[in-house]
Amino acid sequence: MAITLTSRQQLVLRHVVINAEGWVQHAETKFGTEIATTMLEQKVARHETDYDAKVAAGSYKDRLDKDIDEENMDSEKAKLQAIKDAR
Amino acid sequence: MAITLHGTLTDNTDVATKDSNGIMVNATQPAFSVVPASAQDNCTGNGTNATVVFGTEIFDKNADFASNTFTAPVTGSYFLSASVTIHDVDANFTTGRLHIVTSNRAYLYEFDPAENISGAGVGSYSITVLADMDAADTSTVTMQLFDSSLTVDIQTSGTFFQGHLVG
Repeated sequence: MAITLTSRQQLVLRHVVINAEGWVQHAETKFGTEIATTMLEQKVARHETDYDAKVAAGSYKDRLDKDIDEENMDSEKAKLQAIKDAR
Repeated sequence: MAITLHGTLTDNTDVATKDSNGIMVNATQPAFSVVPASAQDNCTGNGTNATVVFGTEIFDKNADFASNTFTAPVTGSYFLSASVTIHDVDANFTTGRLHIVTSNRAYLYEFDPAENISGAGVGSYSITVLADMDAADTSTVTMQLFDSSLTVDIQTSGTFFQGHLVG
């Protein structure tokens, strides 16, 4: 059975990776649902404190938004923006 | 005295040994070394971000490498090193980017191709990082050249990707 991200898991994953759903899909394909579920929970647990702190600090941007901001080449910025638009 | 650790109480497969000189070997400690099986012709040059194809495994101790991707089996710090050698480069190319892309971040080495190209139009570029990876995180290598046409090759000689779990 495929893993379905909770909204909290999706938010924390998007804090650290560009493609949260892709991360989960790869983990499940590589390790199977049971182990991938544990790995997902561990990853979220490891990064959620930082996520909460950054959100509380205000003007929060997730990983993709930060990458778009930091990209200095227009063509690459457009590619990242397309990924965001496809969410 | 030599010490051997087994996987479980019922599994006699050796997972780690320590010999009488104190040298420890862990047969499945994550470590890999891969190279291309063939050249990637005309894969970048116009901004195309080419994922480097590593079709030959020199070793892959815990079977963590597949489809050009290393997947971390456990959370930890991973030493990752890549070298990519490109061919058919000339002065028209003004920007190059070599990345080690991990799930948590992308590590960039940006360069001016014209400054490191041999008379044969060949240049090697390398990047080494200590990457923070969570279990199931992935890592790939990409090469990207800008400002001209899709004519740049990634050659087999001088191209590799290696890594291991540090702790």
